[in-house]
Amino acid sequence: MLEALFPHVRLAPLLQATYDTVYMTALAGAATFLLGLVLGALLFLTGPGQLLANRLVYGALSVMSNVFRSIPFIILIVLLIPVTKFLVGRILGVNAALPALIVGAAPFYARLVEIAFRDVDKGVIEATRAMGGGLFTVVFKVLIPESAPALAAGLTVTLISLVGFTAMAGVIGAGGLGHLAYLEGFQRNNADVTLVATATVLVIVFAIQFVGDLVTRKLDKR
Amino acid sequence: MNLITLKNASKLFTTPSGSITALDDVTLTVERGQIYGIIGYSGAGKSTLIRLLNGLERPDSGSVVVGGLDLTRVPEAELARARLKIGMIFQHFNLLWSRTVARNIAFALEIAGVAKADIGRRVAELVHLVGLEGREDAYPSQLSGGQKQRVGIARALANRPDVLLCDEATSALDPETTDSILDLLSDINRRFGLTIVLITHEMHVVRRICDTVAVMEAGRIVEQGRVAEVFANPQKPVTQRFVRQVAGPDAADPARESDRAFDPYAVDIGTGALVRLIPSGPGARRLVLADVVRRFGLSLDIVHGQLAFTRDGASGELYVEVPAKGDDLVSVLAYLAERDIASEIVRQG
Repeated sequence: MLEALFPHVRLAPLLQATYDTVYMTALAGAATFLLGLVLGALLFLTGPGQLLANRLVYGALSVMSNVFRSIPFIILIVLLIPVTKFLVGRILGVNAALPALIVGAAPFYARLVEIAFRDVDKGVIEATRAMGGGLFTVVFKVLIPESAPALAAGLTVTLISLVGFTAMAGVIGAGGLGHLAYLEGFQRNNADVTLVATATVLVIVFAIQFVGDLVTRKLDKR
Repeated sequence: MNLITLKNASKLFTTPSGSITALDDVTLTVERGQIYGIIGYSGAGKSTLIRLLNGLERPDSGSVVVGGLDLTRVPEAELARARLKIGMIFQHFNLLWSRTVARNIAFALEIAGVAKADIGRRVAELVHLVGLEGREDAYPSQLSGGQKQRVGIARALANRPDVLLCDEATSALDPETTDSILDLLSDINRRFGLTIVLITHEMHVVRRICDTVAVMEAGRIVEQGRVAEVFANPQKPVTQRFVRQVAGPDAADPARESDRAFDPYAVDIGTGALVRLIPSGPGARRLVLADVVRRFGLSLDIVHGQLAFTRDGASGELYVEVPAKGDDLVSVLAYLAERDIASEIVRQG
């Protein structure tokens, strides 16, 4: 029955492709979370009126994050080929996709982090300073825990765009479901492979959204 | 002994639309153990003033000495240490919503670097002190405004500060809750001798718990002194406005319109007596008249008067119709005298 409907779909490559997509999303996601948090915190803290207010640093970070968010991802991959070659040693395969994925997603997440931090009650930051709390306390005991639901929701959105990025990276040699859909499906005119690859991507996206919503709700005590 | 000395402090804020003088040559001293009230309408500079006292704002000129340390001259790290001994509570409580009551209180202790084992014990003491037993694991979103402010107070007292700064601490609360928070502050002040500096725009707050008051207008302190004295004889128009806020429209009016309108001979007193009562000492409290009613089985009738309650007791006068004569009347008046209420028989039927 299944074979009649999807004559060209083979299980082993499909599983491998799914694994590759999840692998790239998870690894790039983890790095994006950490890098985005640091960048976002710096964006927030150096912003006007904040603890480390510094117009020059804020301006530079802001421009950098805007530029990287604005370059279409497929072009970003190509632009980053020399960097990838230097860092990973090769330009094909799942690991070769990571630098581009992180550079594409981290500035986006950094902006979401900045927005989340800005929504933290200024009064609570003032109270923390009045209690003798310094920068470390403000960041780790106030900003991050108080904005945790927004950080989780932002990470969910970012991970979902990362899944999309991996598909594009797949087309130019990173592997994964995008690679499967494009090379085995589209180019060989096997519509069933494209369809199954797409459906698998959807399942991954829905799973991320579901878990993300769950975590966000769990963190929110307001 | 002075705990806080502010000398010639001035502060200017520059905004795109020009500069604003938030504080203009402010000088004040707060003695240890006092409850010091700073009252003013919004924009008078009181928020800036209270923030000088823990270094959240630095003055452009002048000095701010708290507990012997000039906050305008110390580096940031030392200022942070000094703040452990300067508690502060806020109008909007400023609790961390992501932490429970117990962990919100623990936050102040974590900042002070208190050992984990000691934090639990101290938190339990503080929860008991502010009357929040059983609510330790609640999140702020599950608390009423009054309970949130109690958490704020517990947090501010966690590191046994020398002074508690209150930034419009009751302005977001209803009148009943306001009184319960003020009573708690007053109780803490008495029990621990904690110095309290509070800013408010509500005369009621000052009248109820403060010893000393400073009235602010346009960045300046225009009048200051003992609460009872400032209220008895307000000099500046802004002070008179505040006095009217609690005592009704006539209290600050030297002509006493309502007194002239009151004619003691127009009152029908039957066979009893019309007596003028004047609170004359700390024993004069609210429930004395109710005691008279119960003790002597008399139904008193208040016909005219004006009373205000301060920390030192009541002030003002009351005209009361007492349906008694002879020895009965004498024993009622003697009972009142024991409770610091002077009396004068105006008329007898």
